[in-house]
Amino acid sequence: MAEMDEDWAARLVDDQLRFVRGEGPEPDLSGLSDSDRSEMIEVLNLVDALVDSRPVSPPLEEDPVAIRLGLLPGKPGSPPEKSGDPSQAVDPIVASTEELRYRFAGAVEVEHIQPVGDEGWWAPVAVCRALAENVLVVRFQPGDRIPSAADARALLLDDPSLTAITFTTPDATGAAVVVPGDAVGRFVPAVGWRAPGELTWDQLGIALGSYLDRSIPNWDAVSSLPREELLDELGADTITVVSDAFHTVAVSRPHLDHKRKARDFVATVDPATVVAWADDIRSGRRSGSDVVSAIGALCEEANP
Amino acid sequence: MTQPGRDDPERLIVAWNFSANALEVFKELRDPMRQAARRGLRFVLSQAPNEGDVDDVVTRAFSEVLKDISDEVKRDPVAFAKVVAHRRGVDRGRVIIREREKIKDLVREVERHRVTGEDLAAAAAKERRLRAAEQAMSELTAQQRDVIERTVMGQESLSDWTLERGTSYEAGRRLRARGLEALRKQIEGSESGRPEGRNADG
Repeated sequence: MAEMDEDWAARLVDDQLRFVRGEGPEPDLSGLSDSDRSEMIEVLNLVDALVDSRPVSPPLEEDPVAIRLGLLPGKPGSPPEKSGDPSQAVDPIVASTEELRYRFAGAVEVEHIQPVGDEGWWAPVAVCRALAENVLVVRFQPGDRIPSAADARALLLDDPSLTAITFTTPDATGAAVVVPGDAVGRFVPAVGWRAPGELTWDQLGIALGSYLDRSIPNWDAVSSLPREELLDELGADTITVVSDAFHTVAVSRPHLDHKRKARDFVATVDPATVVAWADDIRSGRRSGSDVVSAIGALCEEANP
Repeated sequence: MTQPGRDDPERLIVAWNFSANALEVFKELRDPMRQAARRGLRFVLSQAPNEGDVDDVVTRAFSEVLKDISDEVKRDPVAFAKVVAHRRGVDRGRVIIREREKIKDLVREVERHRVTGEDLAAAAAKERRLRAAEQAMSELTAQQRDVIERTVMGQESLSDWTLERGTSYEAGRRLRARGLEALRKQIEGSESGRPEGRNADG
């Protein structure tokens, strides 16, 4: 890229990164010579190929997808024939709910229910609690009949503390979450009368995880205040501002006696003291009230 | 970072045909699929995706890919898996936005397009470029490698990277572009069998 300005190339790379990440328009290559353009296209294609390839997958034995799909012999979720010891095979529903507990870093509490007697067509197997959510996981035997949203109504009426019902197959590969609003027929002003909703089936971990995701705040996605280091340059700015203010006071010619005294007092104060106060407030070492007290103490010291 | 086996498409296709060995197939596909899923999510969300969502997308896409018996899969399994993971990433990203905006019931499900030969060729070219670039990374200076690994391949912003080093954004941006240019020359050189050009930061 002999003819091309280095800054221009750097800007195009920046634009390409923003484009492939869905944050901006495609880079504009007009204005480049043919040879520069073909070389630049190669560089941009390289960016396209490299982008977001990190982090690499975790070690295979810890890979949540492999565990969820039951690909690892002897791990929870594996079918008995793939596990080394059939007695060690873990119920896929237990594996999926435990994975949710891990994924939400303890924000989801899981209580497993031991089935009592003959289970019948369906049986409650777990309760997942998170903040205001209280979700009953119900295992059903797939066969001629598949649960509908209306089936959840009886369970929700039976226990008003429940916020949703999750139907799941015993192998946890087909699960659907039903909230009370979906379990009943209702009138929606813009749409009209709506029968109980259609269920969307997915793997248990995904279906229940997506539902709980919505009710648990994702603080990582919330913008934080700038870090302290970002404000380091303020130190230099503070010195400039304080020195200017002190100079303005020093050259002033007040007529009133108490103002003259105040001017003389300010002349005795070291600007570094004021800069230190600003720094203390910025770093959170002192509050505004603490600084007001410190100013009071300084005045007392100068004029007891 | 090329994993053993990723250069052996024949073996992958055999494992695929005898899909009893799903673990073998998963080992080969998980990294390319994660990248594609991440990109699909990011393309819609315009923010670094949550790795839990990436796992969800890969789970769904891998199940879908494994069930597929079309000719496209047999032609290039990695490219096919990347295309599917990217699509499912986009789907999931849109679902996340619909969930955020509480309009889930008012929007139709995303249509599932067929994977075309053009899609496969583009994904395969990207995967080839990625593997060539990963092999050529060792020829870069430590700083060039670091800025590319963290701000292009990883999720760190260039502002954070330059702040950590006390350098200006423009200097970091130029360093990154020089590193990518050096990578391009290195790949071009190794493809044509001639020595690569000089690395400006080397």
